[in-house]
Amino acid sequence: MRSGPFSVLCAVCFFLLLVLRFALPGISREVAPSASISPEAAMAVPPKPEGMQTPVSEADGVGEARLTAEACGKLASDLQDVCWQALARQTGASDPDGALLLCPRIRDEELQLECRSDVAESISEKDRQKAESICQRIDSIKWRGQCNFGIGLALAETDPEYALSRCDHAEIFKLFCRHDVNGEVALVNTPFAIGFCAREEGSELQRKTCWHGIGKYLARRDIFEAQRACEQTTLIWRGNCFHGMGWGAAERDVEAALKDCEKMGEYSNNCRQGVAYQQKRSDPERAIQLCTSIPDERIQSRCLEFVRR
Amino acid sequence: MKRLYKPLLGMGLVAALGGGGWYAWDRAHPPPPPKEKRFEDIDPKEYEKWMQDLGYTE
Repeated sequence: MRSGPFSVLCAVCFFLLLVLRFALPGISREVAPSASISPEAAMAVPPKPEGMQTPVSEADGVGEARLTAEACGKLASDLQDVCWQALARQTGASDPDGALLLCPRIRDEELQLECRSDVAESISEKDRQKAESICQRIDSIKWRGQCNFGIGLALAETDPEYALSRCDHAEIFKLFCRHDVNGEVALVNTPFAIGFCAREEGSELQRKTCWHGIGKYLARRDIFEAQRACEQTTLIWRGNCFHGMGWGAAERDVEAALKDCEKMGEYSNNCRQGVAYQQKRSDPERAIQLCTSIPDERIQSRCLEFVRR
Repeated sequence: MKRLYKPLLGMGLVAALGGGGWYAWDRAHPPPPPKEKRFEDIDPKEYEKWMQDLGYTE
């Protein structure tokens, strides 16, 4: 009987040890910050379809204020990361090694990786080998992909073949990269962009999105220019080009886009569908209304399925 | 209570050492980060949905 309290005490201590070992880890352990990327998270970091802002050149004293390391150091700690990143981007073209030394000053790991990607992009026109090697040294699959995507966008106008080849290294952004880089190419060299998609490389999705990019990018500038390009597409994917056209035109002016879609003959429904998809982002009710007004039952059904999900 | 003093102290020490040891071990062995997905690992159907949502395909 005397050993009763002692046994209880032993049991309590043993229980406490078990609690320490198995219950606390779930509360206290932190996942390493370089964690994984779910595809949803990757998509939440949007690709940069418009390309990076042009860095301020030494001669260009207006527009964007020039940053200095001293100014960044004086900022409140929560603003410093953004400042270092902007400074690295600003100095990347003229002093890439100096810019890369600024990136480790950023405390947020994601921003730090983005910083290195930005530096690679900013020097890619002058030294593509160095830009590639910066990307290659990024040990995050997601940011290595984003880095190559950035180089592709930066060189789309000057060397389309090389720019598009970077998309093969863009990992999770591969198809987004092909869409955007070839779209940028279409703005300066439409026949090249059409020829690229006409190679019909890769999966069905890869081929569809290629044509979509041409329609979208050209329609942002001129819907009828997009129409002329879309009429040269591979017939089975032509609807995708007109869909991209509707999306691109709706970004500028929804009502004008809808009016112009009516002039697209047998592809007016695809164009309208593109407008509806684009509207889903800002006005889902309007998107449903637009889908309902599409006479083609198959397209209407696909459209409604998309805008309601 | 007097008789329990030593065993209680012993147990307390064991618990403290065990807890401290576990804590040190745990800090030295953080869980590995989950694997990043490569392009090839992504379900094509899901990928197509993201592309539709972002305006990259019909």
